[in-house]
Amino acid sequence: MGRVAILTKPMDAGALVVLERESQIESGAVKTIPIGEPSTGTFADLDALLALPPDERMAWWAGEFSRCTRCYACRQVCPMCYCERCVADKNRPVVIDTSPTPVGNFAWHVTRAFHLAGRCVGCGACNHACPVGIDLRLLNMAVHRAVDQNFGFNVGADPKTESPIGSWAPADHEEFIR
Amino acid sequence: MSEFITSDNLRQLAAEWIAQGIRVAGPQRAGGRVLYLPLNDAANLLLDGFIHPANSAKEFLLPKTETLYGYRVEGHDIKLVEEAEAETPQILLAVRPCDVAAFPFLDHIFNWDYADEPYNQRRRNTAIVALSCSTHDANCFCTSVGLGPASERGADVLLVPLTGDTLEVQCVTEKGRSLFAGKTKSDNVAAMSAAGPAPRFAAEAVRKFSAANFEHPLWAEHALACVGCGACAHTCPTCHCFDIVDEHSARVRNWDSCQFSLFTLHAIGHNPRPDQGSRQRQRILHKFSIYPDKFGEILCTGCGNCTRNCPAGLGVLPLLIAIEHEEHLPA
Repeated sequence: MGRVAILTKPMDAGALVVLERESQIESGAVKTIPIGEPSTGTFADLDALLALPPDERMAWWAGEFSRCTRCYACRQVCPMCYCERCVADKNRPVVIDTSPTPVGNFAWHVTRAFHLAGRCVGCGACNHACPVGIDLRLLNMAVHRAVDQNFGFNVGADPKTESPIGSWAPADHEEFIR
Repeated sequence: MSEFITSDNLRQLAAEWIAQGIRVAGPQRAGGRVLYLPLNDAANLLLDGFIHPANSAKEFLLPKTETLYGYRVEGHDIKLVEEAEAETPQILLAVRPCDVAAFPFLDHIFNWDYADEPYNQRRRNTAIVALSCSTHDANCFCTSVGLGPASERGADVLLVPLTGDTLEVQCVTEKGRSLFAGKTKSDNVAAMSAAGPAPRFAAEAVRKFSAANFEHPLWAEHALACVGCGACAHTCPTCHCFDIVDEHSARVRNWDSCQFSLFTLHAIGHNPRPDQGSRQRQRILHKFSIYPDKFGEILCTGCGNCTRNCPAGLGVLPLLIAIEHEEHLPA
């Protein structure tokens, strides 16, 4: 195959940056032809959710996750989900309950959100793909904002900058280490 | 003479069923989708304004997860912990005919060689009220698999919308008659069923091609866009394959999908269906060749959910159309 060119919307261009940062594609291997306008999305939905008391927020997520059947459409369409064997597919031994129960579904969606910390580019493919309409974007936005606030990291910028999830610096916050 | 009910009176009747402790499920809005969900408030029941819910109604007979039994390890013994599920009556309300027609398939599948008691118990306690279709979209193909927008196959009652907010009540079984006894009004007007979608392919051509072309390049070409998720199978009314896992001291049955890479992965690491081409082929063969050869019927009701929910716009319909085209090409 010759050189590949991809018509890329702004979020997809960001995804290619992350894939290059993570050594999944070589620098310059893909020619991008930009199309579409950058998203003008806001964090208003997330702020509205975070304004709820924790028990109400938990109940809201429990309701959303109750519809999940574990079809994994969210994972399969995600540009950042390229693990050869996803943690949810590990069965010798099992790492995350495969049953679409409250426990299993929380474990799956929260683990996935954490693994996308500083990696999710906000393309919204998971939301579009979910047959039961779970607003997974909100989970990823929360993690995205935490990474931005704590590390000042712009996920879709220079592929040469190291990812917060894959690097370490003496000046990093360490409050969580007790 | 025909029997009728207004949509307001139908919701009132549903509210009475709910108040009696009957589990009622039907189409409603959630997460920006229309879904079959347990109905807590009859006012939320949708009777029009949608083609087909994004899920199927099978989950009320074959739940996405269920505990078959628990176990406890005591020394060198294993004690089974079996708790019988309560006999909860349920009514599936305003279910599309293409979902309802799948229930006789599930009845057969869960009984042809082994009587599956968890399934049968729920089935005994279930009444099914179908809602015929007034319109269809480009993904619907019920008429290509011998069904139609007013098919009553599998239903206890068929509701057929009239103009305004009235529905004709066609009771098919005694169970259905008892649900609506004294709740309807008689009139001479007959409900007119909508025309279904024009046939999209000939099922016999698909069966013939599938049986003779196991290695045809069409399978792999078609599957290039497949992302390997289970959205098609999990929203399909007839897909019934399950996985059995042990979790938290219980043996649990969960929905599976032939599109998952783990579905046929052997313990030694070999996978007889190593790519999406062979997995897509399996899904077509099971529905249009293997099941018909074994049991004489097509295991698909033409609901179109696999295409509607596919992130890549696949599902069975585009492949079936391509297969028929291929079958009719001059040799």
